[in-house]
Amino acid sequence: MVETQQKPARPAGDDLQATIRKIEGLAREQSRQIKWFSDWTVKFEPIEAEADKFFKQLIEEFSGEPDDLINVIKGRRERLSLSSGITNQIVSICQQILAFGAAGIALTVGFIDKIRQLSVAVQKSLAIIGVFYSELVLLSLVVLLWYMLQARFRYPSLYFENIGNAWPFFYYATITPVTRAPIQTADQRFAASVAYAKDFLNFTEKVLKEEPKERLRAELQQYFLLMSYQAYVHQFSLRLASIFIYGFTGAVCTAVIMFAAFYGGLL
Amino acid sequence: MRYRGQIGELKPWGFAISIALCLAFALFAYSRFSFVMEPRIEVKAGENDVLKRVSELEAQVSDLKTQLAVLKKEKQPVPESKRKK
Repeated sequence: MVETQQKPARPAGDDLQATIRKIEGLAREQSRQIKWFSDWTVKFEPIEAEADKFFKQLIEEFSGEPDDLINVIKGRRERLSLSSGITNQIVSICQQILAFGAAGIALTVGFIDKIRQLSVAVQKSLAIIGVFYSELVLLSLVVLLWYMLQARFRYPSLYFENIGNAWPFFYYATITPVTRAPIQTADQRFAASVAYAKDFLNFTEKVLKEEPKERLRAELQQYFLLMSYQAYVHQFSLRLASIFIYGFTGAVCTAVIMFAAFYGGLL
Repeated sequence: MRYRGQIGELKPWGFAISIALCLAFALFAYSRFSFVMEPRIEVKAGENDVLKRVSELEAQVSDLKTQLAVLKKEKQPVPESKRKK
């Protein structure tokens, strides 16, 4: 039996717990200084430094074969579900409700004078149906607004310089910020080209000189980032579905109550 | 802290709030609709008044026409040559 020389085992999770307590202490201290509309990202720089220090330490202490672990991480990462089918369905339904609603408004305006020729019962029934559809249109607007806010959401990983997006997988950590303006002056285009050339050289050198442990770090970082992203995608999707279900149920129940009141002679 | 237990489940108060909001909106909107609803009865009542007045006036007109015809018969217009100057 071969006995392998092992390092004296550190109490499991002790360093981790100490670092987490440190981060929580820093968070308490920094959060008091956060004001509305202030640059709050500055406040978590010491927190990121602490997390990054511990992360680096863990990577350094890793004694296994980096490539084996990288393959395991890649396999797991590829199996992460990063989208939700419900969101697209709900958004599509809301778009259709709005489209039909717009057509309905046009028709109603055209034939509003004819409604007086109908019997009172029919007029009241049409009014209830109109109210029901108006509620669906309002619900669709709310859902679409919510969807746009979700799409505009800035994920926490975007704010971190070292432990957020890993440089091989996302441009934030690799490319000099580019302008969003499609029309640029000659100076701007020249500067952007210079930045491109410099970024390309930095990137190439990084790729070619990447050590196995650095690769491991990048893979691990990206794996966790995607899991965090998955959490937001799924929770946002759940919220959108909940809003739609609540609203739709409310509108249907209201229509039923209104019809019941109408047939009961209350309307 | 981790996700555990009932995650993202629908809550009864969510439905209650939604129904309350929808019902409030529906009652408000329905009350606004009343300006287009049931006008047929009012218009008809108005129309009846007008028709009654028209038939009365038509009766008066035909009465006056009859009187005019009688007067015309009774007294023919005097020829120009017989008129005193």
